[in-house]
Amino acid sequence: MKKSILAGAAFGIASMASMAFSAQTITVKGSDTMVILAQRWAEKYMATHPDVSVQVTGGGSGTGISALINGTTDICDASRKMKAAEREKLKQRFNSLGVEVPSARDGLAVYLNEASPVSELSLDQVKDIYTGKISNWKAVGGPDAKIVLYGRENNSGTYVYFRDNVLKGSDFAPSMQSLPGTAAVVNAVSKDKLGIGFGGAAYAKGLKFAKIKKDAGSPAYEPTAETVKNGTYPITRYLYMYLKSRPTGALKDYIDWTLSPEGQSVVTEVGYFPVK
Amino acid sequence: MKRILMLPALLLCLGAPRCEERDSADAARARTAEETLVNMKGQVEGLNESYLETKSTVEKLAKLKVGGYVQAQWQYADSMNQASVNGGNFPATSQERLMIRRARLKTTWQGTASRYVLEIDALPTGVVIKDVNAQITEPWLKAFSLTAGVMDRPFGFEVGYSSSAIELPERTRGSQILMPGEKDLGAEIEFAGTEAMGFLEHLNLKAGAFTGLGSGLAENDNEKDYIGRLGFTLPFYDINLAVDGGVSGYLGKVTNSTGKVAEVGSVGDTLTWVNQAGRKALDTYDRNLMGVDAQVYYDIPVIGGISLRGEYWWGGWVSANGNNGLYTLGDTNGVYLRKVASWYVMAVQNVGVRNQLAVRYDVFDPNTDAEGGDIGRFKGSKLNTNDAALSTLSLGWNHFWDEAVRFTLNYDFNMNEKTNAAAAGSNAANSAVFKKWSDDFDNNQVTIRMQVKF
Repeated sequence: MKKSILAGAAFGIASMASMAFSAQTITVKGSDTMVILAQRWAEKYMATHPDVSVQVTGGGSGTGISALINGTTDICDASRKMKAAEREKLKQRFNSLGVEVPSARDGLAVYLNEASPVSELSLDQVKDIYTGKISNWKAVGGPDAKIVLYGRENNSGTYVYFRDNVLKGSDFAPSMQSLPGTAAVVNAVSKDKLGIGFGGAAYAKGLKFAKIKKDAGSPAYEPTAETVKNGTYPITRYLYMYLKSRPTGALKDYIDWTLSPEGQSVVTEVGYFPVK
Repeated sequence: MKRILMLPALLLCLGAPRCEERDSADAARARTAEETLVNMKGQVEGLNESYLETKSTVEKLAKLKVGGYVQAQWQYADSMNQASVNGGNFPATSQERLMIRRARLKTTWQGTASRYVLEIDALPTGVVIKDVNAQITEPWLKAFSLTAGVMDRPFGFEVGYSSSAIELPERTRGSQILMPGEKDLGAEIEFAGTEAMGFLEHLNLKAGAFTGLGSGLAENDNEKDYIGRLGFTLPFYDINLAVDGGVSGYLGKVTNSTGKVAEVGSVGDTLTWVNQAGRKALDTYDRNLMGVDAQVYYDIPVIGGISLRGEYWWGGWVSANGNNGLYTLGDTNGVYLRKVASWYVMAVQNVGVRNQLAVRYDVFDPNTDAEGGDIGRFKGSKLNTNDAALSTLSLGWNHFWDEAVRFTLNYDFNMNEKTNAAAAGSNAANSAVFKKWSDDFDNNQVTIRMQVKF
């Protein structure tokens, strides 16, 4: 039995040693929608906190949540809420429900090419377009031409949010081209006169936003600071940071800073909308 | 003036061939550029076509998920030939061993409304199937699903908890004896509430009909075991607290190959197994269990999350001969009808991100009609150590090396219900056994395990 006690002691010491060497590095992984915001936050925070390193990578909300469950990231950025099954996995590994921090608001924009004659769409029309029920621009006031759908890959929080809230749980049309990141969707729609895409309002370069109506009889709104804040723009969402457990030390200081007036001013600079 | 007019004319004449040459060169360049553009467009279209083909293939492959894990371990017991529910009994000539406890490979294909699962356990001693089932989910609410095949029995909390996630090396003794291998062959309906369902979001139900024979045997009678669990999960996000729990039921029947049936009863002053008269071969006997379980999760600031868990099962069980395990049709020794109880309490504390402490105390009583003092009390009693309650205090430490690797150190303090040594002197067959069991004998065990999971 001596052997086993010695082995146990060695094991315990090795475990403790690995705990003692944790450095002041904060890792952030997840939503591509939030990656610019997260990078700006990191840059500004590190400028005033040289003792802390904040490392940001994208990959999509689903990838970030997996990393959080695996213990390979401190913060998961997500442009959707965690699913119940994901919460269960987090609970199993860390005995914690995790901590959800709403850190910004976003108007989820529907992108159109600048040359498109279409300027507004109802939510039902957007749903019908993306589920494949409407496949010709003529049906929504455009030219007699096939609609080219661009969207995100299924590990993206934007994809899940759009499917759950705009398509009401229906599946995307198989013809949709899934692209790896909002920037890629913006790029594709800006070059394709017959294209339509969706993504964060912060990425609006070289294209235009469709004005969105709640229903056929409602007024149409573009995602602006005002319409997102007052809720008249119908496709808005929170952008979240998720943590394994209640933050302490440098991690808590960083989270608190992102929610401070200084941190929230970065939200506005990037093109999203503050939560406070 | 003429000279002045002539000069440009001359220059024009002289330059004309050059202009023509330049125009011709420009046109050639334009043609080349146009050709290049056409070529590039063709290449882009080709790439796009190729991308769409690849995308279609990748999307099909994305539905197929392969995962698995290997658990390699070293164990040390207090004695050779030690009985153990932590990795099986030790050999007669050894009290330490290296072993592969589990080596799983799981393949899952997840379609829009259907799922296929095949999981094998590939050990040096042979390959066994752990899970093989098909599932369909209704497309409207996406809350109800039907699963058919070999799957976890929907009973209690611990049975359905993944073997790669359990914080101690093994499930409790009671769980291993009453639900051996965790799996059974059957058909199960599952309800999992969704966010749109209000309070029902917090409820889940699994219920089904099973053969009652475990995963390795084909059905051999007309009886089914009906097993189910109604569970709830109540999250309180603001204070990072969750309270989960469930109620389980097991209503089964066992067909006896023979007319031999034994129940605990008294013969004079002696509590013993009494053979029941008038029973026929192929009679059926009830195998019923009830269970309640609860789990509380709470995030302790600075330290990490903690969970407190408990489970209690009780009921009437049908076992084979003196063995307290499952009876299967074909055993000619007849059935033993016994009342059983199994319970545990457990705490798991995360310490930072990489470490985790687990403590569990579990008790399995294979015969609640008999006290320890009844076993070995009289010479004529057929009660034996298979009727004594056993308990284990397990202390475990997990270290998560990275997202794939986990090391576990575990120590089991095994304790036995003290039997009566009064009959030891007069019952030669059990003499040594009753003497040994009249005290808490040494049968502790240490386990060091490495798990790699992908």
